[in-house]
Amino acid sequence: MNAAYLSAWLLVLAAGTPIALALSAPRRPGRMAMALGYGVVLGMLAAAAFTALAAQADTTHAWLHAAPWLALVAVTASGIAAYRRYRAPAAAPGTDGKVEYWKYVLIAAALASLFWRGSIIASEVLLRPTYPWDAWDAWAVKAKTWYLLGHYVPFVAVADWLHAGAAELHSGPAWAYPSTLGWMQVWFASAAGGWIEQLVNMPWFALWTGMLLGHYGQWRALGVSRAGAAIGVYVLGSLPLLTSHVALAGYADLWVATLFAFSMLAWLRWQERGERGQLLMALVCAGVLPLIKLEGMVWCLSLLAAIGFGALSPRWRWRAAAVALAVLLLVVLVGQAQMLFAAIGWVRSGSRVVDIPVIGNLSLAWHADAAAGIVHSLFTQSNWHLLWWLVPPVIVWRWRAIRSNDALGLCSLLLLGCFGLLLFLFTFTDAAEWAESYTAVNRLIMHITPAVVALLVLLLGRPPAQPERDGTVAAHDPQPGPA
Amino acid sequence: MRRALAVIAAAVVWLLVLGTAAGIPWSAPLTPRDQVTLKGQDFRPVMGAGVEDGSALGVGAIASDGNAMQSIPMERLRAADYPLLTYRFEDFPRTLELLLVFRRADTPDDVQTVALPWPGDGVVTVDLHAASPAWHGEITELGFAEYATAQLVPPSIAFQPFRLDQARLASPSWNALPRLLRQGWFGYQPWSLASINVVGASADTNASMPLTLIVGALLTLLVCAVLLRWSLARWLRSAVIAGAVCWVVLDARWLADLAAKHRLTDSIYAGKSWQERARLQPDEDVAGFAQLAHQQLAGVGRHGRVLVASDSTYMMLRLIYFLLPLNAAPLESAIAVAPADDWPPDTVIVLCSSKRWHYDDSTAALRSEARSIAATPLFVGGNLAVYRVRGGGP
Repeated sequence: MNAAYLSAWLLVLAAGTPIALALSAPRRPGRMAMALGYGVVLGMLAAAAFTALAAQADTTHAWLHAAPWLALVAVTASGIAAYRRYRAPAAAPGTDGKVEYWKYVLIAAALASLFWRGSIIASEVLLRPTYPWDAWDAWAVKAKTWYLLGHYVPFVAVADWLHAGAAELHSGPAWAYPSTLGWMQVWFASAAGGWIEQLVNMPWFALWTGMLLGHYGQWRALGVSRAGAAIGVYVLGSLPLLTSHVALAGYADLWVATLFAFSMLAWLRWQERGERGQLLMALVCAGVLPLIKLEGMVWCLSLLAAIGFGALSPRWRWRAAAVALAVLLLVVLVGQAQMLFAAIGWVRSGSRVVDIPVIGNLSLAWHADAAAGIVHSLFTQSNWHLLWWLVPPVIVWRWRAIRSNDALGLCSLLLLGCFGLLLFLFTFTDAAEWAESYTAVNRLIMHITPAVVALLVLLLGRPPAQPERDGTVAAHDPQPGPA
Repeated sequence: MRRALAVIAAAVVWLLVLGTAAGIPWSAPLTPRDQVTLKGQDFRPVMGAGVEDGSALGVGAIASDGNAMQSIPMERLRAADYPLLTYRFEDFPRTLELLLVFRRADTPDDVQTVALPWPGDGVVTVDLHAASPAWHGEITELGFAEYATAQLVPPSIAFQPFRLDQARLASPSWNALPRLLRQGWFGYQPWSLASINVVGASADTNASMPLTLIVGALLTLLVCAVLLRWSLARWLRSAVIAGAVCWVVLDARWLADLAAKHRLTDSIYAGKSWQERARLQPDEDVAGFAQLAHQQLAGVGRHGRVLVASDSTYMMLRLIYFLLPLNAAPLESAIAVAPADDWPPDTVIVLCSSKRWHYDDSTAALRSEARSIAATPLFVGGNLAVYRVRGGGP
């Protein structure tokens, strides 16, 4: 590891953290944790963006070309964040009650286990060359090619590649995959001074750390106590499949999962606190999803639909729901439909087939084995500890909170819709094969898992809201205090 | 009195739940009715080299293909009577994977194999009946085979001498319960390519630790609620505590497994430079092919297309990755979209461990079934061959 590599990391933090601070109301509990968590993720994505824009002609020194732009972002965002903090009223003393001694011990033990886990997976990433299949077959191919060539070359379909004559084009099985993570890897490879896979894969560890910090900060800002947020971080950090995706770095799924949850939490904060910066954050995180992975488009549209739906008045929500239901019924009854979706293209459905551009042509039929596979994945395999066993009882137990809090209700509806989409995909389409063979089923479920954990922590970790005089429920807004 | 009754009922619940998870029949006795003990010294090396070391067999070398195997003839042992295999090795390296190999009287020419848990230095017990449908009929030969953990450990550094102490085949018994569950739940499982999709074994339904803990905890809470006349509030409080305890137990298990996985990574890569770590690829044969191919392709221009084929998709894709930044893609993809005559003139084909494609000297072309590509050999050596395509497009 050299000074340039460390500088590249510092720049990522220096650019990302103030962006998150600038988009967050000053003097909220958990503000610094949120800023560091969101910041490191946004910083890595910003580094990827500037590398793509400024370093195409010289990828060997990519970080030197992109660094000034990142520094400019750091200075500008810092200025905005400092101005907002200066204008904000002074913080009132925190209202977190006293935490009992035994709770401190439990939290310390949980955090110690996270640190131990973190040290193991960081060491795994730093020791082993890129290991899992798609990491070297799909996600690192463009980055390695661009970096070792010293400049950018387009990746195209094999047919175009063969017919391109002398043009410098490349191809491969994953030529159509988004390039964002590839450009980020170029940034770190150029800073490391060589294609050192271990250093190129370190962002996955930073992503995991950022995910935990970001969740902690948002939970605190949304009224969860320190103890509740710390336990939530332990629950999220202890999920085995998430840990595996860091230790075996290189897949895009953890990025999708983190950005989806970050977007949902920021949206929730906008709904409950009215922070416009958080709405912008939610939109940015959602908008980046298709640039990470093709399936990200589905999650992006789900989030945007939910945000749009949430912005409607209750009367218009009913109308929108009725229209959506009518369209769905019409499609089922007629048996054939074509619909143009923004950024996806034409989705065509026949009586036994549906063609979705980002996913492919899927024939429709019930797959009982796939349903069994999903149940097995969620409840008996070791991927999620007891998470999916806990979801139904918690929902039932906190049903009144979901009913009475509009923001939580909308988030629950969003996650239910996304989960339903996955169930439909795996039990009614050709994707059933992925569930029967336990391949993509867990990875796709992982996309919404951090968001599910986030919702559970909010349902369990906040004191019941007090009804206001008009019968509505007040948003949770404890007096702001230090993080 | 009620408390004592609740404790006894809870103990019975857990015994039944754990027994079910381990797959032990209710009718099984406490100790095995029948057992056959096989001393290490009675095994004979079939592949690799080994010598008697007291009552054990010391395995000191592997065969040239990187494998070792030791076996012992059996006198038509009925597999159904002996489903439990217990084995003990000493100094068994973490870098090796272990297989049980056996022959049955009904198919004497076929060798059956069952993947066994890594033995470490302790005693390991597995239920062969549950592990493999092939464990039936009469067993005429039984043995162990060892090889570098597939797609994880570089074969060149995998082997270290170890001792085979003892193996024992036994009928089902309740005293095997702790060892069966310890192995099933806490046994070391190395990383695999599937680890990115599923944690642990994907087919361990009856021995599922989350399911067993949940069922055991719920039944215990139910028994306690009935016998101790718990209120709903107390039952819920206890359920929350039980859930938290189960979560922590599962997490402790996962952390222990993660640490064990890391010990292997550490043993291979720690203390080495970036270059050495890059060289220590689990598929060092493919990396070697890539290095050789790079040398042979030195004359190919920067824009030259390199089409790669292998009988193994994994090997083909790995070779493409190792060849980067050469302009490489799968040969089969290219054939699917355009005839070879339309390919650019400087196209090169790299074949790696491919029997599907062969060079036909009489027609000076590469052939695979009905397909043919006019090509000139540039390099042919061992499992690697490089050809330049003739008659490409302008």
